[in-house]
Amino acid sequence: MSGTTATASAVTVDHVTKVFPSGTEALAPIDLSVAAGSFVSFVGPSGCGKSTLLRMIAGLVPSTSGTISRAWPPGAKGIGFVFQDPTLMPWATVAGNVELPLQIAQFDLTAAARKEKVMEALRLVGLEGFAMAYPRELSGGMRMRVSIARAIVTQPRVLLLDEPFAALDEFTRFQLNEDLLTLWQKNRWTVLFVTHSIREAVFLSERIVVMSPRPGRVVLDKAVTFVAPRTPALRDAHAFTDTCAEIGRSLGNAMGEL
Amino acid sequence: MPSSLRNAALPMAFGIALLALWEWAVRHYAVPEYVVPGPVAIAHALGRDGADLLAGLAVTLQVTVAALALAAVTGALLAFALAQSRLVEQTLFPYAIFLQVTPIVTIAPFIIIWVSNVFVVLLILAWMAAVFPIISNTLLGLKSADPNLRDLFRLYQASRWQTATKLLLPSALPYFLGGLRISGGLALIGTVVAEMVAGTSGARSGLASRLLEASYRLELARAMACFVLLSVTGLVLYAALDALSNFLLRHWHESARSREE
Repeated sequence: MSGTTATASAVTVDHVTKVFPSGTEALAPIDLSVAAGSFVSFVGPSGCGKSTLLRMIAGLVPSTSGTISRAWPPGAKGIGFVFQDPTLMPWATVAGNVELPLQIAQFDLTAAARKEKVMEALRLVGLEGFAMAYPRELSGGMRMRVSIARAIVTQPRVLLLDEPFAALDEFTRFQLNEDLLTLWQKNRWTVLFVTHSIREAVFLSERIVVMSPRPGRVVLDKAVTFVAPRTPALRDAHAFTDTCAEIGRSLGNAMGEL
Repeated sequence: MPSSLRNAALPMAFGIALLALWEWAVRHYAVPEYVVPGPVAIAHALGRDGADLLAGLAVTLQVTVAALALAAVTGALLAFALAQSRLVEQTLFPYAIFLQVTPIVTIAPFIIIWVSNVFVVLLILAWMAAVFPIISNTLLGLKSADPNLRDLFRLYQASRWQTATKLLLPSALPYFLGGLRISGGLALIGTVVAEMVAGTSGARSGLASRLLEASYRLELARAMACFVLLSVTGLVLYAALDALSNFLLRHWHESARSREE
């Protein structure tokens, strides 16, 4: 295990493997520990099992062997999850979608207090004026913001994001990266972020885990330290482009091993 | 709007032309009214027997609406039961298909013997005609819920009840309403067939029975008037269910999206 102590660890993955029922070996034994309050990105080529690992950490997919210890309570109080698609309920308003986890988990909140939390989450993602809109009236980027608001409305202990910005155009993607970074710098949730964009990972994360093609293994586990707070100008810094290049080489080597 | 005006005007003009041709042919060839009545004679019968026929229509409509409501409730519940497990669905769905493919005329004699209340007989037969599209569509809808949303509900540890009411029911609603639109027409057809087979008569008889009676007496204008009323009823029923569907789905479903958007 890495140097973090047990109390500060949000999740510990111990010798976890995944073999699909078809016999495909998705993940070679994975060991890693994520410190509470850190932002960790998983990058790797398609099919490297990074999404599978995330879903196993969430508890959506059982692991074939090994153990995963989570330091957060189960259910909406502990976890927020953002899928690649916004995954909104089309029949509910923006406010209705964001309120869902508050309704499901038995928070002791009055309707007014729930509404206040929903508005707060919408303010955080810059959608306070769209509470009564329906998802189909929004752009793709705005829908993704709703999805993020839903994930953070319960102030969860851990936020899992599975390639959330992959389907967006680059401009929207940069904007949402910056917003997510600002939110995280303010709130310090534990964030596990899966992406195949190296620049996105380097821009956002304190730590990057690079995975190899199937069966997925950790080929590089790198701490990323830039001067805080990070700003969009970071993308032009030498340190930033150097780190991107290093991650890129590591990925290239991993692909070459095939 | 000119295009929508043309959409309505063209079929109407065609219909009027057809009626005019029909009336002309009946007069020109001097076809007796007990063989083929012309549109004017039918309209006349409609005016003369209007009150009587509307009383019959009310009876038919009562059965139709009751059967449709019953089919909506039981169909949705049955679909929900079938969706609970693959095993239940595999075991029971063939019987739902059986309900669909069996011509209700062939079952009617048994129901008539077993059940003495005529209204209940008609209700059962019309229900049998109407229920399958609702079961089958709702079942499809329940199974079509977004898998990511299912995962999200699982992640949030939603109870079965929460998942059913907040995810499965809204997901299935457009499919259910699609089934309901088909079933509206089927309930009417079921009622009409049931009335004809059951041979109801007298003041409490439905419009289909009156149609049959009139045709036996060779009062074909009256019979055709019954036919016209039943057709219009079917159209109105469809339009009403279509409007209901559009109203319920107006905010979110593609089917209810206005064209201008």
